[in-house]
Amino acid sequence: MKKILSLVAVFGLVFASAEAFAGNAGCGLGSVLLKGKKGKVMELLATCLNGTSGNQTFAITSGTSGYEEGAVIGMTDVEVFVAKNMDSLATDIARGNGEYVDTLASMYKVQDVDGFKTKLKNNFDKIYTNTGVTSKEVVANINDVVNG
Amino acid sequence: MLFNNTIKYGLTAVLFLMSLNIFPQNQATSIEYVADPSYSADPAYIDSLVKKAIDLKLYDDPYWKKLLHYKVGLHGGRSLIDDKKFFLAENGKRSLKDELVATIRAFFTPIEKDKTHAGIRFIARFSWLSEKLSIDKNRLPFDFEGRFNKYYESINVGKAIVVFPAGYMGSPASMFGHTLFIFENKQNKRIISPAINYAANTTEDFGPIFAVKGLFGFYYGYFSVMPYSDKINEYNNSEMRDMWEYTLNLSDDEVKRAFKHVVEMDKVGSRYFFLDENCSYNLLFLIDVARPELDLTSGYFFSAEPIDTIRGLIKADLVKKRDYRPSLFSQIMGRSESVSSADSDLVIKFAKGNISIEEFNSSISQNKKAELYDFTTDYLKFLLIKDKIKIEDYQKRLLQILNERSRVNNENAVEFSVKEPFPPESSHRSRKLSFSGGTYDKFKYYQLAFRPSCHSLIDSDKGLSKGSEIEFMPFSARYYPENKKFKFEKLSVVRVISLSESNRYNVANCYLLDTGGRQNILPDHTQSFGAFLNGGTGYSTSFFDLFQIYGMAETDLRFSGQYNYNSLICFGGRLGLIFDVLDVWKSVVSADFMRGVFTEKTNVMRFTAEERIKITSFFQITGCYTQEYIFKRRTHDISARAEILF
Repeated sequence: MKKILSLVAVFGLVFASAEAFAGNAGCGLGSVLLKGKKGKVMELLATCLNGTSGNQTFAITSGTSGYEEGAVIGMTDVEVFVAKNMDSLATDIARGNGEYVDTLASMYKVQDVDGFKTKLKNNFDKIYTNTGVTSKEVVANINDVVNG
Repeated sequence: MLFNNTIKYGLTAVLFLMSLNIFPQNQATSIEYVADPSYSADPAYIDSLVKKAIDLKLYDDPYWKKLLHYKVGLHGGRSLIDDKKFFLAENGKRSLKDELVATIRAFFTPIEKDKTHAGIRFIARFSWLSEKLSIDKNRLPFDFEGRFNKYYESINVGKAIVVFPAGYMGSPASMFGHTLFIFENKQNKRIISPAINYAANTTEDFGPIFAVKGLFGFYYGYFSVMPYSDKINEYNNSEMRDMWEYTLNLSDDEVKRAFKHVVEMDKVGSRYFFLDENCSYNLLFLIDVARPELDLTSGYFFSAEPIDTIRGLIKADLVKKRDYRPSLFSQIMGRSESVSSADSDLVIKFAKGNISIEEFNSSISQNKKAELYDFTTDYLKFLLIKDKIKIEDYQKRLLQILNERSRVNNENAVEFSVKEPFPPESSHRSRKLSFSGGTYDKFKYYQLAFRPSCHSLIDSDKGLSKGSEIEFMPFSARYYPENKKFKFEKLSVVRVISLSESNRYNVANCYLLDTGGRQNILPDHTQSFGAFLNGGTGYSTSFFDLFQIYGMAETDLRFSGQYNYNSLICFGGRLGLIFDVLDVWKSVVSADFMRGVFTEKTNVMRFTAEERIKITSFFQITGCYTQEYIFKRRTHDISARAEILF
């Protein structure tokens, strides 16, 4: 019974957090920074054991026909990248340089990387329009700036 | 974090990740089997391959053993992998030969719906056997190698990198470390490259049980993959650990072999043993498989600590380059060095909401703007992670600062980089054996002490977190020659001291925990071995990077049949000082003032001074003096120790 309850609880949490965290809107500034945190006790004792919170396990390949699915492929997706790196990317865009904005440039396959970065920097307020801006909106705004 | 998941919750994880668009279905480049539906194997050909393999004794080949993670141990030869999925033969865990035959035969089975074909599942085994046996790919159900290559090219793998996240303040246990394996994207898009992680899978949230289960193999470990940026966020930001990236000099073909083996290890569980069959040890198999002549997975006795695996890579001449990725906290401390005291006050005030952006702007000079905005950005992130500011305030202030920053051009901005600390491999070895001679209460003694792992305050903290101590199972025993008595002095189960320094940017908590058995002083001033529990919490700060001082509220519980109600319950405090001169001479001094209450009423005072001189990285000499006043009697213990770190 206890197991079933905890399973239900985990399901509940997953959907609740998926809803709140990602949903259809993507995630906001700061949420990713808080995501990687562990409980106090885990911090004291578990870090050495696990090195990870054990919650990120997903498969390398999936599906019976092998390799076609999986995180490896998702890594080239701009929306995922922006959602997972909201704060670092915002910082790099405002600064006009850095690893995150360089990576974004390579995802957009731009030739003139410096020009791309300057353009984003100059349009920072058009990309990060308000405090509640979501990653999806950020991606849309970046597209507007890049294509505009 | 909100939840953990065992493999039985794998489904929930996948659902969750799908909701995050990790598996964008439209993006998946589905490569169908190009297979002949009328495929039927030629039994005579398969038999000839099997015969050839046996004649060549391929089952005895070191490479085959590597692919199966086969090791000879106390229980004879067996694979370290405990998952049936990994074996095609019934007794594949123990029989190299049966597994070899079953593997060859499996390659020629027809494709079944809803079942992963062995030619996909065991691609590293196939490539090796194909080369050794010259397998005719036209006789296979489909072209395994071609199928894999298509996928591999789509990932665009370049270099292989091993990452070591160092320990972090406030968690001495993290000094033990961890390693990750990165398949770097060819366009140098390191942060979105796949990071391979091996970890125990558990829902256990209660630390001590987790620790015990992890030590003795109650959990299963699995390989998993995620974008490296997730791990950077977890270690660099959330946990504020410096990260070290060791680029390996593996060739393209070697990296490809490692990747093939990752595919084989997918969803395969092995019992996880914290000390040896752990995160770092398991990653070594990838490198062993990558380069046939390597044997990195041998030669570990009792424990394979993550940093030792890094040392192993360096020793095998595998490391081409080392990069330092400073934690958020290291960046803040690095930036703070060039910021004036007045400016850092402004940064703190703005970040905590005491002044507005306008006030902040009007108080700083134009040429300092870029630098101070960058500093504030990092500090805001820090405050959010430490729960010092609300997320709404964080979002508001972050956008204010970044908007200002985006209007400052970079011409005046100085390129900032954090000064690299000593790398983790320069730290001392974690096992310590010490021999000492001394006198206790005017009786001469000889002492032998051993610590399996990992670091104490008196040891050099070069390459490690400052002010952190963690020792697993340290024990000491004494021999008193005058009355020919042998005594166990002390055995701790675990001993942790964390002395995070507080400064203007961060107020951090210190704590100590030590428990096990030791010689307790009894009311009649004799000794008896009994349980103890010592804990404390307080604050620490440092001066001129030379002195560190701390104060703690402390409790000390001792147990013995000779005490009233079998216990001595003390409450009090501790003051301590650590003094480090150029890593050569270190002094660790503490004084405890406590009062025994409830059961045994007595004043307890204890003063301890340890002085250590480092001779080489593996040898040091330590002097120790302890004065203890308890049950109205004072004892002195003075000794000199020779200590070997190995």
